[in-house]
Amino acid sequence: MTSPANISQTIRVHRTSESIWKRGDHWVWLTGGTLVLCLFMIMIVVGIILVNGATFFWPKDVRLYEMKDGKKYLAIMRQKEVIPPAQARDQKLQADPNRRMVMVGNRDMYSQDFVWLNDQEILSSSRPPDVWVMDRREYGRFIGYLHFLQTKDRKLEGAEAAAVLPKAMERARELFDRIYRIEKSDIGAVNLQMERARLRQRKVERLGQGEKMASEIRSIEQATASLKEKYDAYVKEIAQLRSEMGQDRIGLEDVNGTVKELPMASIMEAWQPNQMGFFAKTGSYFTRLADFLMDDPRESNTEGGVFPAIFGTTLMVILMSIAVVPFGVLTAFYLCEYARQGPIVRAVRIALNNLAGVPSIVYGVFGLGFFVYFIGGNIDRFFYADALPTPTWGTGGILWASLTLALLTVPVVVMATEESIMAVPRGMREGSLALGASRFQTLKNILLPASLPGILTGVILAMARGAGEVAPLMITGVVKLAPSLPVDGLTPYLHLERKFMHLGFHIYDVGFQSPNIEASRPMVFTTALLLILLVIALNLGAILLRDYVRRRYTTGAFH
Amino acid sequence: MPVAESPLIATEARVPRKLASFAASPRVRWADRAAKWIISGFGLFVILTVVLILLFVGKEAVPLFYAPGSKEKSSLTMPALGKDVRLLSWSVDEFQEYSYGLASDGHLYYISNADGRIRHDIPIQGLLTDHPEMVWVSPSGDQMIAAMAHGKIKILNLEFHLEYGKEGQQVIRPSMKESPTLNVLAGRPNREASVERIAGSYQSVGETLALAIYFRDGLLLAGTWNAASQSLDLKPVETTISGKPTGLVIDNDARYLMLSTDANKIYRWDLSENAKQVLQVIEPSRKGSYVSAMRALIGNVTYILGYNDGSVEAWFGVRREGGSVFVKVREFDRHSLPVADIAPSSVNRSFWTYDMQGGLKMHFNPSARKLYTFDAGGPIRGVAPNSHLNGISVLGANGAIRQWDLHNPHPEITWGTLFSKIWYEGYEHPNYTWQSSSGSDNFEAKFSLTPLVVGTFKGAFFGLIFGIPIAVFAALYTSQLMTSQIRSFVKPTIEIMAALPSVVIGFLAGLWIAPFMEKNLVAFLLAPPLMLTLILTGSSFFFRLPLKQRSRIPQSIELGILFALIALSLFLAHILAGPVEKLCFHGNIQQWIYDTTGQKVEQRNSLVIGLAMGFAVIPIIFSICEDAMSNVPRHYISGSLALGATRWQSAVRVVLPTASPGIFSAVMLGFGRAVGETMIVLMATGNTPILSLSPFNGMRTLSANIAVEIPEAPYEGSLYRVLFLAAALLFLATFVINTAAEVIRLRLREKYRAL
Repeated sequence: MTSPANISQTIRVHRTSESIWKRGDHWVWLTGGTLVLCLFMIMIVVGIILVNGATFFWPKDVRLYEMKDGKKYLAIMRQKEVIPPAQARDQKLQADPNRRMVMVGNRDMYSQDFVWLNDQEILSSSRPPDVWVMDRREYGRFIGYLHFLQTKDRKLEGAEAAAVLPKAMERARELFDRIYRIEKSDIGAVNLQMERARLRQRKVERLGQGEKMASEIRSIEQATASLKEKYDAYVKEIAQLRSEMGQDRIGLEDVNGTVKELPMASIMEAWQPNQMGFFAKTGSYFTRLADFLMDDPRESNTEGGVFPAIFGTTLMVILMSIAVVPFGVLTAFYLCEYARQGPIVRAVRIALNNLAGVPSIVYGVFGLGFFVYFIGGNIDRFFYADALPTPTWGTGGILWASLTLALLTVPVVVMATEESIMAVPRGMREGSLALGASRFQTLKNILLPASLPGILTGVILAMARGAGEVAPLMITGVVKLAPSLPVDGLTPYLHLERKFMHLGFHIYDVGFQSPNIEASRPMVFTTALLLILLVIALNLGAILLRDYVRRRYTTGAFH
Repeated sequence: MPVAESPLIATEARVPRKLASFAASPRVRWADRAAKWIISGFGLFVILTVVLILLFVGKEAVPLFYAPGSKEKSSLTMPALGKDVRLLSWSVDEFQEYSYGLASDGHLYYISNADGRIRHDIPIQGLLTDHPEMVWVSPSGDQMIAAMAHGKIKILNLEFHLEYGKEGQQVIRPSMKESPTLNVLAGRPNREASVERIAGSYQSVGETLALAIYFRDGLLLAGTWNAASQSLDLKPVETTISGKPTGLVIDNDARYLMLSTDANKIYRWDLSENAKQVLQVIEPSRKGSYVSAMRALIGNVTYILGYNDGSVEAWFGVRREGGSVFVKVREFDRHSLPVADIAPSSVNRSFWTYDMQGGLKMHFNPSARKLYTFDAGGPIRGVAPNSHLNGISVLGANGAIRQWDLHNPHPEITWGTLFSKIWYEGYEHPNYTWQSSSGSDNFEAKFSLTPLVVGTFKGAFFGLIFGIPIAVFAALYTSQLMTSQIRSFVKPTIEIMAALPSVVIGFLAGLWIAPFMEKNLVAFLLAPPLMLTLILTGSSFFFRLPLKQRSRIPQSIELGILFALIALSLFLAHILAGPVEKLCFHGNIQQWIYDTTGQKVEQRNSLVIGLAMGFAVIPIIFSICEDAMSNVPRHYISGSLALGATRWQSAVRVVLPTASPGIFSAVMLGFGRAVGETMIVLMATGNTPILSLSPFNGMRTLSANIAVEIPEAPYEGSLYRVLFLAAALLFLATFVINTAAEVIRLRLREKYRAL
């Protein structure tokens, strides 16, 4: 029973003297701040990778630094920073001086690719127009001048040499590719056949007896001999091509005037950044990006391309999907449609949800123990006994890695499929049954088509998860450098027992196990960018698909 | 409830059987049935797989704890060798084909372990006339020093050759190389006493064998024998020794010499500096007993002492101020009778002890595990374990040869070695240590999981204290205080954050954040308080605006302002870092932390892990929290607002409690993820398995440890199984956490349903 005067007083109190704290206005902004912080971090992470990864191939200008002590550097700027105070004090520098890390390249002439220059020591810096930057097969990048070009019959210098350079490089590359093809596919095939013949001989010797064995061994030996002849012919051809390739040579001159002569074929790519306009640079950028995507790695992964890693990742994800889709989808149908709903199914569902939270390394350990050592080991014992003790299946391989990841992603597919089956309106199901369709017919004709987008979402999410996972792969078949792709032109074309390379592992390996981390870091950023683009694209696809499914059924007439 | 959930089944059951069969053609019915079986089969298969994973991972770890198995293989009788001829040594070859020994008539006798007959009999020229009186044999059984009267010795090298007979069967053929007879008393004409004790080193360093001889009259000689130059270099060790020697041990480098006596004394010499100097004289027993047997284990660091009261102890030298001190490290299962002798293994740190009446035990050193207890049935003359560690041959004083097959692949593992402090060789005190391998053959593997478990929780802790507040508050804001338009942009963004592969986060954390934070540690520490201050100041101004104006500002602007404030606070932190560091931390915070806490600040420390792991768990916690908060019925909030509560008040007092089950489960799931995270920890920490809770150094977690070590672990070896045990622990931990989260969530949901 308050009087009107009292009420108005209360209201006034409420409006004015209640603090911002009590109303919670501060908290609104603080919680908003945490959200913005999240978004900020995502932007920073993606931004760093994007900037570092995407600019790696941009032909940056080369500057000529002349130092106070007379040293000269032709170098590409990498980063700038304030010299740490303690160090500055030791070197008796004035307050807050800057220093820069520049890439001087020429690992074969200098001991290090990178040097730190104190800004105070730099006398002048200029942009000489005729500087070349070259990617080489060995010793990393060259930065300097073109001194001469030696072909079979003549020696060119200066502008003439520069004009002929692209053509000479083209020719050298053609020869190199031919040698590469022979070495990789032709000799590879011969080697494989020889290895098979050797194993067959061992088997015959182990199992066969008497005259039959002798004749079989004779025929195997003949086959081996003819293979050996073939091999020798290839080796001869390679030697000839090599000598042809060796006739073209290039002379490179560094900033101090030291000239180094190299075979033409060791140059992969050459450009003159200081002379290039925007479009020329863009062109060069894309050429080198394409090389990165299509080439094999060089110099223990720190240079060259990542093609085998892209290929391995893709094939692994495909194999994983082939394994996970039937199991995941059928399990979901079993749980939703066939299993009697009760405590057991509830327990199974909890178990599946739990499995999604089990650390991936545990799956890896399981894969190693079960697939690799147990199943693989037994396959070797029964079918590949002649190759033992060298394991064929009893060691990490792409099949085992894919199956391990399939196990890991089963919960993802099951949950997504279940969700989409549940979302199918009950009316549709009942209508089908009422019309006399059997349960399987209902499933096939009504539920499956209706839940297909949801299943697809699950599969895409599983693929994204699989593409980004590294820990279980490290122990079930991924290697730093695989000698050959799991798919090639030799029967049976798909070699599931082979080890493979993977983008995620490539990041770990090059970023953390590489001897020359400064030189390889930008490349790791590029690989990381590639990986997150792949994962983000897959996830966005899944999100869009899921939204589509949800909209379709929330507006459905049956609901 | 169940009826409402599955009306189909109920409906179908009510359809008369006849009608159902009438409706479908046989083909349809067949397909229906086949589909049912196939789908159920697949479903059950996947569920079985789930069970299989747990069982398999556990199964691989369980053999670690199996009780050692043994079986008596044969019981033979020593063949007669001749009158007054007895065996002076007892060894067995690695395949347990022969038991062999040097007899007092100067022959090497090889007795078949299958039938007890003498298979080979190698007479040794120099020993046929001058009969050996005493023999020292190395644990591997391939080196012998035979001592004859008048100070003459002979060194024998034994070998076994594996050959294949006519039918392809294995034949093991022994052979022997002997040194010339050497007179160690040459130049000491007045010495006539016979040899009392003799010892050699277990492994030759290059061509050099270390040896020591103690004569009955108190002369002690120690030095080396070089097989290549056939030169013997022995020097007297001049000490008065009280009591009768019971054990003599010299190490591989001929540096440390030890002698135990029945006067409860152990003499320890350092021969490298001065051959006359006793390094230490120890009275090992305080109970009036004395050492009755002493041997070194492989590696010559740990010494096993057996006492006349039956107790067995391990001792080794520990570095202390003033040099190396010999201390007792642990005790083993004791005998009831005096220990007669000790037979160490030549390949690992297991050893056998036996007492006067034939009681025989096998122990393992760092784990202090008693592996076997046998009764030989009478006094024992010799015990010979083989180098494959799967057999033992025992020669009784009565001439009985008894053999056991042994099976104990993981003697070094006990719960104690896995989880408690163990004093390992070369350490100054007991410690939790993980060090699974090293370059040396004599390496003592150390398998303490404790630092890894602590590291796992430490990493998760730092990730969660950073991640939980941000994720929960962000979810609260997103679900309650945000317009749906912005929400439809925010949620997929956070989902993308969840999808970023951990290898990428780990790479950034290790190669970008870690060095960046090292340079800007002060700025990192300044940023959070600055952000808080700036946001609070900003909101004080903003909410002082009249409501009319305020409500006209769209939320995107509000978020924009927040964005600017955060960016500004980071910038300010960067600007202020220099002066603050100079003012408060004498210009170098790393040095300051080191000076004040004694803690070195590593580049890849727990703060980096906190950031990276937080980044990985935020989206998980966020998504589940946001779901739970969005599912709070709209009318609760409307009711609260209608009663005059502000947006924030209803969010905190109504939404938070109602959604608390979901929030709890989100936090638990985040915890589960943090515990199992591998790549981030692998890349962003130093990976050192140290036990430390400091935020300024790194850690090694169970998962990272598995990833690093399992590729190198031999199949079914101890390391392999310990790593499987670690995986099983991880599995169980996450399983328990997840199930608990689920159960508690359901229970809390019941509670708040009544609201």
